[in-house]
Amino acid sequence: MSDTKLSRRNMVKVGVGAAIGAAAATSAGTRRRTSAAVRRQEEVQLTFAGIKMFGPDQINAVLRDFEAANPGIKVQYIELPTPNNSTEVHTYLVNSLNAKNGEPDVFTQDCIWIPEFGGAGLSLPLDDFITEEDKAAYFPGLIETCTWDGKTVGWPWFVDGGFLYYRKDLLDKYSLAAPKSWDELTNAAQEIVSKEGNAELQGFLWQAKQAEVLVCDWVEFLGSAGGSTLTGLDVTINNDAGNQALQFMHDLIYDLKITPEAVLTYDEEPSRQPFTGGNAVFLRNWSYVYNLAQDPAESKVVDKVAFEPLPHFPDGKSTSCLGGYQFGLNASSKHPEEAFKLIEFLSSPESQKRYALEIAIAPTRTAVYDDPELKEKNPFMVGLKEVFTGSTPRPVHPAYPQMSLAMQSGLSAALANQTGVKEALDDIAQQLKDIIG
Amino acid sequence: MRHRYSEHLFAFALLLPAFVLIVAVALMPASETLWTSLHKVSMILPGSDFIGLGNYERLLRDGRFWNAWRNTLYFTAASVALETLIGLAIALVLSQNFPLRGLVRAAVLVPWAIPTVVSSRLWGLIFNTDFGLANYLLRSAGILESNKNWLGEIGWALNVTVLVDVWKTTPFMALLIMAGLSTIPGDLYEAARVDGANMLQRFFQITVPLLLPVMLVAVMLRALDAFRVFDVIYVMTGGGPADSTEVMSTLTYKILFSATQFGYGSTLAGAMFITLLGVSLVFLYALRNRLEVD
Repeated sequence: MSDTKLSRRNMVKVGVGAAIGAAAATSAGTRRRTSAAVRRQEEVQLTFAGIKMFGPDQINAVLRDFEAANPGIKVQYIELPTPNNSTEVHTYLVNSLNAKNGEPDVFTQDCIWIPEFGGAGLSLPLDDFITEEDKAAYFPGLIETCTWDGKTVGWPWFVDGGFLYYRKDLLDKYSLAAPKSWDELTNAAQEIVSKEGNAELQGFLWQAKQAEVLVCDWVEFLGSAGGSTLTGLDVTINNDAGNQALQFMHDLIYDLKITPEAVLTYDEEPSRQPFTGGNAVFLRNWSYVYNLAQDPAESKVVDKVAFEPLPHFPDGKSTSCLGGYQFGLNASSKHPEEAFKLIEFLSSPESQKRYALEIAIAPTRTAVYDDPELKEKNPFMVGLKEVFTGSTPRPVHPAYPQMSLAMQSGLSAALANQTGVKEALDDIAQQLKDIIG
Repeated sequence: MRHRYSEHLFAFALLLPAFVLIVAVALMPASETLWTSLHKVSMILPGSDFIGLGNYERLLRDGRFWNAWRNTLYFTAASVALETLIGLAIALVLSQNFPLRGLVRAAVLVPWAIPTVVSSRLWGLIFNTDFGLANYLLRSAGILESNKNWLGEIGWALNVTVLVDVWKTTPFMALLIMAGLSTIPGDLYEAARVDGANMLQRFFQITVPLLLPVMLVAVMLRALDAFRVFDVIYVMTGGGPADSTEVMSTLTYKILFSATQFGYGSTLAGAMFITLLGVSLVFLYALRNRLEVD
């Protein structure tokens, strides 16, 4: 009994000591900051909330370069989670932008949220800072994504898109060319799977988990049939092209049987693993897969993988769903001019080249792809220019997140055989109409 | 008289901190949410309109809400029933005397100690269609002919999440029931044995009635917890396929933070609060007499 008391008393002592120590440290920190601010009265303090990218950190280095080039501006970096945790990033931005206290001044946002924050007046239109000439330096799809209601409410950082990875060694073995149409892909997959005699081998993997990525895949299948979810503000998801696209996705699983039923649980990584494990002929995925496929620690198919734009139907064209994070300027920022300077610097040709070389994220400025050093060191990325030129945004609308939930639910219902294809599309169309209002 | 007055005052003073705490962290946020649920407010629209019970009217007509509500009730009923039965069995075994009992008791708690996100990821791999352990074992044993798409098939996905929840929280149930068992005086069993009662009679005449209040409290705690299930579902299925694993918490989260419909999202949270309040009242009523006896 006395033992317990003693130890409890000790614990209290330790606790109090720690608290005093922490308080002392905090006040010392405050003092230091105050004196620094007094020394340089003109100094502007910006905050930048950016997602963490895979690979070695480059953001801090770029931010320090910016500070060196712009004496009198300091930038504090708030690191957000990686892009596969986009829901958490969205939650952070919703909360901090709605607080309207000017923090963060500059942020990174998934392209699908740009109209949402722009429409809500939470991000500042940048039209006073930029010219038409500035816009012309970027892929047109990116500028379209950054525009809502005629205003430029975001500025491009990097682009990503879906495309087709395939096993070059297997296609060569059966003298098959990379497929340009869905028929060619189907035939190639069926022939290779039946002749290889490997029970584990799958024909074509993509993503059908009830999640955002299902909508991305949908945009690509739909575009490849010549359709589009919205035409202007009219809902056109349930026309003939829509039915053809969704029926084909369904057939891939249940009729042509080149896609396993397990895609219903796949988002990006679960679909990537069998492919780099050597157990799939074709894979639809984003650009990150390429480097993983060339890494002997992760992949059994090093040097056996090539890529092409996705196939299409006779009436459509190859479509890549536009993804990537773009910059935004907080409408409550107390230093909008300095904040735009930062955006400009982060999106400059030099910075974009640096990201492309060091962390393999694709430039949004078309000219960077022609850079000789990039051509030499990362020919893969240069090859992506063709893919990204045809990239298609998801429906551009402030209520997109709500639309996405409706599409995820309806598409999943059709692919899991809960409803028919036509029924599912008509139901989604009705919900989208209600959302647009 | 005066003495009693100051004693009352003293009692109130002692209760005040707890009262302030409950108001600050429970009552205020809950009433704020209920108040928001009476408004049409979303991030993409300017301002906030008071629309009375409009959101609740919409809720009653919302198929997605009822689907999530049914899934939640099913999840709660199935997981709590299984946890109670298995927990009771484990508790009965662990309250016997056997060598290394302390070690086994500690080992049983391991699933409870693992963070849910981690165990959900693990179970996600176990139930992976192509290289999951579950399919491998069931095929090796000849129970399955081909791989089953556990998390991708309507009907199975929700049951798999129930299984994961049962695996994780049965130890908690066992622990509570074990505590209940230890309060039953040993001489009752001795007396029964002397009177010639067999094992089943001892179990149903002594253990069950004396354990019931503890079990009811344990079931209530677990039911309230299971009703709010989020992490298992969010990690394993995200609500799919075809909304078949969508529960109230995941739906509310999507409406609040993805769709940023703060008003309607609060209505969903309000509906959850009201349902839970109802469940709690039923349990408190059932417990009322028993607690008074104590």
